[in-house]
Amino acid sequence: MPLLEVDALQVEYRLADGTMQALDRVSFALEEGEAMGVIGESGCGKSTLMKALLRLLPDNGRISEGSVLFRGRDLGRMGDAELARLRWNEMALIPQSSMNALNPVYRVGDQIVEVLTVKGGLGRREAWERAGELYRMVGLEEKRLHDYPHQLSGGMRQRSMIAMALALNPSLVIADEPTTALDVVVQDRILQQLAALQERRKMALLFVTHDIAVVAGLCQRALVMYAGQVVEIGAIRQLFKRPAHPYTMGLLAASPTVRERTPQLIAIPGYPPDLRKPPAGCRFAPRCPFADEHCRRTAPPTSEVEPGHLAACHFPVPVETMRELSARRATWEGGER
Amino acid sequence: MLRQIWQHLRRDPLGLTGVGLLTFFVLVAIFAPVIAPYDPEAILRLDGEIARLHPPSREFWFGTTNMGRDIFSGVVLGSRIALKVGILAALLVTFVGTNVGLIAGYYGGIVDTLLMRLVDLLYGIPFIPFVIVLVSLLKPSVTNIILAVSALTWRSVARIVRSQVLTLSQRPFVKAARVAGASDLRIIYRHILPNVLPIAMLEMSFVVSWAIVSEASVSFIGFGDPTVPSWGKLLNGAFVAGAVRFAPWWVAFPGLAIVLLVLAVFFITRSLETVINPRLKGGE
Amino acid sequence: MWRFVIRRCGQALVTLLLLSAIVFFMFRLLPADPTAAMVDAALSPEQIAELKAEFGLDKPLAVQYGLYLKNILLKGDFGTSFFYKQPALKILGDKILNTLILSLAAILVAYTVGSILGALMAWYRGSAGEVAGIVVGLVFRAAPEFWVGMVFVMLFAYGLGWLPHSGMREAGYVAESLAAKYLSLDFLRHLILPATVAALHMLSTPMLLLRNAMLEVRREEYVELAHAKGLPLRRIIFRHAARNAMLPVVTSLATAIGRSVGGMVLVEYVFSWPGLGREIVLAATRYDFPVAQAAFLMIAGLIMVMNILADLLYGYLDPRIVYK
Repeated sequence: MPLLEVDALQVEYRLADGTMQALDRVSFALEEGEAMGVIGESGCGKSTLMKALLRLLPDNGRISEGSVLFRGRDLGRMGDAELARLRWNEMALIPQSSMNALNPVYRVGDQIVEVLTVKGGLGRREAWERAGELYRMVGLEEKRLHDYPHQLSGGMRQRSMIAMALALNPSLVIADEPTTALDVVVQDRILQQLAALQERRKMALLFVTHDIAVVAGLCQRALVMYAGQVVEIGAIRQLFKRPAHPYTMGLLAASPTVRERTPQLIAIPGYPPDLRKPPAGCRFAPRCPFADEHCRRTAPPTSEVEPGHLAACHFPVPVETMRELSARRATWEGGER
Repeated sequence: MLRQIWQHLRRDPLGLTGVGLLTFFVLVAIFAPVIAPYDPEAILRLDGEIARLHPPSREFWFGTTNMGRDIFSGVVLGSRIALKVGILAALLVTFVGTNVGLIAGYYGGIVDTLLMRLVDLLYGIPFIPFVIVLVSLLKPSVTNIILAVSALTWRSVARIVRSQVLTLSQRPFVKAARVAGASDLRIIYRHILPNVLPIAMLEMSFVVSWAIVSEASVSFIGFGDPTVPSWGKLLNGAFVAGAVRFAPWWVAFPGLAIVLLVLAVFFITRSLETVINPRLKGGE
Repeated sequence: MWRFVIRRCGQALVTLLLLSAIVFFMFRLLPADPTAAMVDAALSPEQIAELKAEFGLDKPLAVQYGLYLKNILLKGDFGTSFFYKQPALKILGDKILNTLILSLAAILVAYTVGSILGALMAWYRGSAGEVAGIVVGLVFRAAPEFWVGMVFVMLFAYGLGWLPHSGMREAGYVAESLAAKYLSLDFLRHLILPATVAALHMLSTPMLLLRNAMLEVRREEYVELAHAKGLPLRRIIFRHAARNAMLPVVTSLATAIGRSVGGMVLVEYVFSWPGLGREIVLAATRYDFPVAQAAFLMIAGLIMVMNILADLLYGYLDPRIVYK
């Protein structure tokens, strides 16, 4: 049984001028110990997805359809008490902004110890010892436990967040763009640390990012999101070597570290659609260099292009042609449309 | 901007209630001599006897005092001084405070330091004790009460206006005016003042309620103007006579009048605040 | 941090000095005989002459002020009460404690109850309880304290007979020690009504402040993370959200202290609570100027001390504050 099973999840937000559909029929499965990347640009719904999984949607958001199963149990039907037991013990979060996610008036150690005592049932002394262990594990000095968040550097804070997330040995860790706010060198180190920890503890990892290059070394599988939908999902090698959706191809071509045979760096022109009135057909069609009338009118089905590799595309042009053309800048600058 | 305020008020039930209540009080104050059935100082008789401590009845809607005076007339006429002190004190305070704030904020430097030190000093003075002492030293009159209340209250207006001026002084339109050769006074009063006015007005409405309660308090302690009917004076009479034991109407009605009028001003102030403050927070 | 305390104390002293000057010259505003501020007209000519010499009442004002200060700072002599015929300091000495206790009790109640209500109101936004809380808070803020005092006396003292209607303790009480004086049930019973009345008046400020601050803090990421951790709701509300949202409330505490000690005047008067406030009213009514002057200065001084303490409290609660 997969650790996490998301089935046709729909999430909408109630706004002042109507409802916005933030997630549309999102489905995927995550196995125990598996690291999966969630890639997409700002506004694609990846943060909403994470919030929905943790059941932390804001007051104006709700899951309108679909389900999230954790070890076969439907999170939507769980009582508050059971959900609370699940939280952090089984599912933990490494949030995006460590500065904002740490309570400024308590020392970092206090916040880790709190989790260990309140949720882990440890005594105070044990908890502090364990916190020290956790800190050593992420490469921080134990005495830093007594610092306040504002006294630590960005990298240190992020490591504290990792330590805190791992405190109760969860089976699933959701990392929401944990390195976005850090400089590249620190980012690298943290990613390495995360990879090592994930492998050693055999915990599942959902790694959210807008940077496709980052997932390469860390994850086994990845899913690509656009405008609230999953457009492609597959093993890392499949996605990188044989991408099957124009958006993924665009992301790869736009990423300076990933391009191997693409000599030109491109940028995908245009903006994601307004999700208050989502387009009828393929949501990527307005920006897709290959889209035709059919694409614009009908939503594409999800098809399996190879075992374990799914993409949502009509394939108006054969996929190999798309791969080749997407590597050229002219394609994206309107040459082919 | 006035239109904006009105738009907002229309949709705010509390704000509307406030406006309604305030209008009611103003009308009562204006037509007080006509509305009040008796002279509040007159000792009244009923069936030949002095009407002492009558509970509310058809002849005396709010009852009478231990000296046979009609409380309803007292409350009706008391509205005059409440509104008078409230509005006049507020105007005086706003005038002084705004000017001090403008000058301090605009000129900065030593002028600012001196003025703000003065304001700091004033903040160290406890309000009611000061007012009591001042009014006891001067002759108890309406003017003196207004002066005593205003003497300290302008400190808050000055501070708020000054910080607003400091923000505004950095704005391009001020620099442009300077470059265009406008004199300091012109810049202050024609360019900065209009932008500062909203928040000064907001503070002014706080002051109105503060002044009304202060006047009532001073009169309650016995330092009010003896020639003028006031809610505080009525309550003073009640307290001194021990009315809490046997004449609840004497205590209730004048007090309720104060509460309602101040609440009305509060509601209006809250409404104004939602319009004026977010605008200023978000910048123009 | 100690440098901060010393600096603030210094500032307070300077302010008090200036205030004493203001008070001094204010009392000489009297249209009548300026010496009336220190000299009771009912004394004999010899006594008057003696006092005039001691306070230098025939010398220029500046010199008089100097003498006045000297008397206070060196001898603790604030002048002699016209009414009680005793040194003003002696009369006011124990009243300071009474006012302080009442004031602190009122603030304690107002700020703890107000904060809890404010936190709950923010968390249960839009509920009937929230609206009720706002209305009740505003009504008590609008109602003058002396009137609420009178109404409460009507209801609870005479009407229901639960609590005493005035005073600090029953008449005829003989106290053995300071502790016995204040730590008695009788004292507590007398404290309840005036403290409650004063607290109700102040309640809406911390309540609304905390509510507004909480509404903002609720959306902070560390609160969201606390939810993600599955911590119990009460812990999230009070230990995570309220603890942060409290900071503006503590700032308001400083101004509240200032207002309350000065504002205690009316409550003390209505309840005949033997404190500085009541004394200053009585002194003003009796034209007992030495006592009025002294009481005024003491009230101002008390406020300043409490303000400094409030600043220190704020620094303790927010570790990001660096004292310069």
